Amino acid sequence: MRAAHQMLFGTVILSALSLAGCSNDERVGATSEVKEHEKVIVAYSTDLNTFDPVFGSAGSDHSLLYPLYDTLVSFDEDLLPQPGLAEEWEYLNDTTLELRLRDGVTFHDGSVMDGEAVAFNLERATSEESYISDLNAVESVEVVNDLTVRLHLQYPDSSIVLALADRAGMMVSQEAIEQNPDQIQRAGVGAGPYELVAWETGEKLTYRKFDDYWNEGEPKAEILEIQVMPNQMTRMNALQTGEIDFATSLPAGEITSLSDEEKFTIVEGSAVPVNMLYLNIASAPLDQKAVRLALQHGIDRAALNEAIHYGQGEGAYQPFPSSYWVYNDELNNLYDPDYARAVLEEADLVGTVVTIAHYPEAYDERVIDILRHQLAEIGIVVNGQAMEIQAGISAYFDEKSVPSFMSRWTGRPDPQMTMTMLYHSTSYYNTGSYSTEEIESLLAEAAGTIDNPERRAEIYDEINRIGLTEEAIFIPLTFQPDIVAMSTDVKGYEPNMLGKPKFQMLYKEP
Amino acid sequence: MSKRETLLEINNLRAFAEKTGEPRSQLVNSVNFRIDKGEIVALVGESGCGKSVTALSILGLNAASIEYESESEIRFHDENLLQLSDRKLRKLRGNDISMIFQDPMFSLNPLKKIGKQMTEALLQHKAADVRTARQDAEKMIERVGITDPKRQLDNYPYQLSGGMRQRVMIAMALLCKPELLIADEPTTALDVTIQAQILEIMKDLQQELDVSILLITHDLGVVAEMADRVVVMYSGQVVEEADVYALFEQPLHPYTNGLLTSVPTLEGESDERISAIRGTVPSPQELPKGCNFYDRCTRRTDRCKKEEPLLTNHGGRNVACWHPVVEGVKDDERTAIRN
Amino acid sequence: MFLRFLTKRLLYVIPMLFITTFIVFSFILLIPGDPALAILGENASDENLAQLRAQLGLDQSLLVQYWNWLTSALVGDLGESFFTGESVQEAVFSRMGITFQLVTTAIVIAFVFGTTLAIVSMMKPGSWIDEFARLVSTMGTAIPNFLLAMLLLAVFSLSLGWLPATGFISLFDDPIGFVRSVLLPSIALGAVGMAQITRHMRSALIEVFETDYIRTAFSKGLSVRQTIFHHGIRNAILPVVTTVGILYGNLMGATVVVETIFSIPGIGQLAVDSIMQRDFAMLQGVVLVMVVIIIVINFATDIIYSLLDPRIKYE
Ligand SMILES: Nc1ncnc2c1ncn2[C@@H]1O[C@H](COP(=O)(O)OP(=O)(O)OP(=O)(O)O)[C@@H](O)[C@H]1O
Ligand SMILES: [Mg+2]
Repeated sequence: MRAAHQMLFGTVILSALSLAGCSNDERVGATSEVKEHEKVIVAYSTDLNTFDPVFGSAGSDHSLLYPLYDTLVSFDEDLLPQPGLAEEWEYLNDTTLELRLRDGVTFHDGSVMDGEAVAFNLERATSEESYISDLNAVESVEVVNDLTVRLHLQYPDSSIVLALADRAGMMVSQEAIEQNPDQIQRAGVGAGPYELVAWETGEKLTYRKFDDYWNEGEPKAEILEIQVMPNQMTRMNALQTGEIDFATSLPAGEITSLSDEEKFTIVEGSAVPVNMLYLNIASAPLDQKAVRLALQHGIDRAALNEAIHYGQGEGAYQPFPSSYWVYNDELNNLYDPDYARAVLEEADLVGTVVTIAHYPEAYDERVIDILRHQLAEIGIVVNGQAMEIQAGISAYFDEKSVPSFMSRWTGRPDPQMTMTMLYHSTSYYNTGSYSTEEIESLLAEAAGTIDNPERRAEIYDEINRIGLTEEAIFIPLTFQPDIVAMSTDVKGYEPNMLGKPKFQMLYKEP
Repeated sequence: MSKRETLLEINNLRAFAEKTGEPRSQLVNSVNFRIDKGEIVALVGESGCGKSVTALSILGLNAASIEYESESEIRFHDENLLQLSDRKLRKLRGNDISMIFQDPMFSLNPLKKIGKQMTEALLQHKAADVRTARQDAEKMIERVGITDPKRQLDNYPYQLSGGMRQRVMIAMALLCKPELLIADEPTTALDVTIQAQILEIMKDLQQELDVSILLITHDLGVVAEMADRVVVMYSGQVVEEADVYALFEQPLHPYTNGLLTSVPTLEGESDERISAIRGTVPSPQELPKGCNFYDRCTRRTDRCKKEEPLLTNHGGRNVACWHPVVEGVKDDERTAIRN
Repeated sequence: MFLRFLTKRLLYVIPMLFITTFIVFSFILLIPGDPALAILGENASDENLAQLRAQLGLDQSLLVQYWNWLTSALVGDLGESFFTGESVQEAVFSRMGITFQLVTTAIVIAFVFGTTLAIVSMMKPGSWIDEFARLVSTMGTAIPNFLLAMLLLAVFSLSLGWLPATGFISLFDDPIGFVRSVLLPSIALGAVGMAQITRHMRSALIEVFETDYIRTAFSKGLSVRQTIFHHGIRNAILPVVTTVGILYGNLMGATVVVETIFSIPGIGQLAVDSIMQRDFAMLQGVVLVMVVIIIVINFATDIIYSLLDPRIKYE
């Protein structure tokens, strides 16, 4: 009797815990009736924090948001603007952008995506509480009629159009927000090709085709399932065993196990995210221009890329990859160790120790090792300091306790955004708040160059020339290859230069 | 003297401990004695002289670590137990020959109920079902003086006192009505009054069941009380063997003599230990060439140092000594009783 | 009697919970890195930061923060994730449920195979199985679990295709799927435990076999096998129960590597993610539930122990 009691007690507690592990969403069950070929399963590296586009900051969120939210402007694989929910747009003058909306678009909850809805969303994106800063130039939004909206700007900003292809352009149902603004965080309601069925945090996201999607025939797959797999080997294993159909961000050196062409397709793309050294120019020893220039000219990016990416990917001497429309042909090789050493010697700074904070990952450790070797040649001593991600961010951007930080610039749809954030003295990413008047006036000029891409590209050439070769405000290192793999029956994949794949285009042939 | 039938006969038992990497050491050497049906034989000798080794050899309970000389023999019903297969030996254990041990604290499994442990041998050897086995067990522990047997069978060993546990051990050992009970110092761990009760019970049961007992003890008081015959061991050897009255009347071996003089009275419940004789026992690795008792003996001569005395008949009793305590017996009158 | 024991135990547990949660709370706040900064990223203007800190309650003193957390926790509200806004108790319970199933399976495998190996090797000393048991008990501790996980994966999943390489299916949803999904990770996780249990059980059996009551059992005519089964196992298993209890706690804290490799959304991943993101609300919930689990396991160990050993009484 006594024994029975004790056992009971133990079992009750233990089984309560096990029961808690049951699947918590009934609706998920319904999706399993879908035929195998109508369901595409993707393995992706990270989960997102919120489905509310205005309350997120991670660059990795976009791929999970795109299926749910169509953006006002879209982009093609070269990152040039394409019609989205806005069929066309036009600058009425330097500071007035008119958007003409697509007719007959509805949100997942049935409400209409019209001028009012756009104004509501844009005002929300520019409000106090929003995390979005891309629309800082927008002063007001005017609804001309149901299908026409005008953005009135305080000053010209050439990046506004593509900003509408980013978070700011993701349209959320006004009704849904007004009903329950918190609900949007967990279950977004957009006008995209897929509706959200279930979000099992940290595990997987299940989307179901939105039947009233404006673009007839899209999407082609009934169910899109995105599984969160932080480990790249795990993503590869899962693809190999057929548990998933599509795997993102695979390691360059190890995709040989997928080399069976009958079964797997591997696609290598290049994208704008760039690995670089952020420099705090207000802090010693990087306040010495000689040290920064030695770093800039003392690192052989081609050798670095060869060593860590096995020749895939690309060495970086500027924040743009060679296939991008603003790439500057002249900045294709800044490596000049003799010059680097000479600069140091002249300033009597040979032997300077540069502390670089980096993530405690094998990849980063290897990069630091190579940098240490290369820079030792020219007289700079690298002191790598491994820091876990948030500690590193905090130490570099907030406490400013380390002078340099090796991390990645995740890229933006419009080069103007990248240029401003990396070079402008008021940018968060410019930790030392250092810039030159010339650079800042060039940035302003590029912002005003709204209808002449060639001119804009020339301005960026000039900024990069000054900012990198004369001032060395930051040190670009490499473009990591963007490698995805899928089973051969998966169709529709198009890499884009943003490095944020749109999974809604994937489908399988029956 | 004994017209009785011989039950067990130990001839030339020589045993060695085999351990890899160590010199093999002799544990017992030339042990010869017999046990007759219905008789209580006491095996005495000081600590470490090989009593337990001898007793365990009978049941093969120490076989794993011990080697026997090829002519060694333990005869039981015309079979040499030392040559018996493990299966046959198991049939014997607890059934024809059972054993109880010195320390009742540790001889019972602490995690099993008394009843379960008691009936184990019955179920193993007799084709008994659990119910009748239990009834038999109840009767038997009632017989050893435990009241409320039903309840006691459901108790765990920790719930019983030491004396109670030894009663349980005795009851357990006798449950299959064995022909021989080996009791290795059954009362040493108990206090004096309990000792007496236990011995009483053993004696009663021995008569009732007509079982032979090999009683190993340090206590000459116990010997006098219980035994029909006495076997005295010294340093792995039997040095004297005699009827209990004859032995107490006139020990022949100087060692036995020493033992007896250190015990004040025959009936006294003396706790005196045998180690009262001066000197130390030789180590089993370096036994002397002659008599093992030489170092401690008061009657030793040169001969004792050179020649080993064998167990020989000496007026109806056996002794292994060149100079027995009773004078006038000439050397040539002795006949070796080997084999 | 049992009730009194229970109350007494609870009286120990309550202050322990207060102390551990408070210590953890303080440590968490000492981790470098600001959750507000982690959430805001590049949009971290000073006003934004201040506003978010206020919203998350991070601008208050440690004691006030702890008090606020505690008073809600006491009424069963562990708050919401700083990041995803999901309910902490829901997230923690669902993740813990998964890890619990994983660890329990690992323990069961470790226990069943560990004790069996030890027993068989005891019955046939020097046999190949004895050698095998010895091998297992050295290998199990020598091979790190991530390596074993990758080996198992390479063989049984990638080459042979018998078992899935990723994912987890709950026992309560699909028992067969559960077994298939949990087998490799739980073997990888439980190997160390199996080695430990084999070793402990083996030495416990050897020790038991030197006792007098085993000699008594042999003297009754029982065979080696009977003696092991009727007298050896239960006695030898007592110390192993303690090992299992400790192992449970160890494995609970060691699942993250295996969870990552097999992409199992367990508590280990949640804990690491919360630390990485400075999601203090979530982390606090994880720690609390971990502590409670460990306490419950200890408690269960005591109870099992007392069921096996009649000499132990609640006091
Ligand atoms: N299996 C064994 N291996 C090695 N040595 C042993 C073994 N069994 C007994 N011995 C040794 O043999 C000698 C005789 O031991 P035994 O137990 O027979 O003495 P005993 O006469 O019973 O003594 P006590 O009165 O103390 O019980 C001792 O020195 C003991 O250490
Ligand atoms: Mg003894």
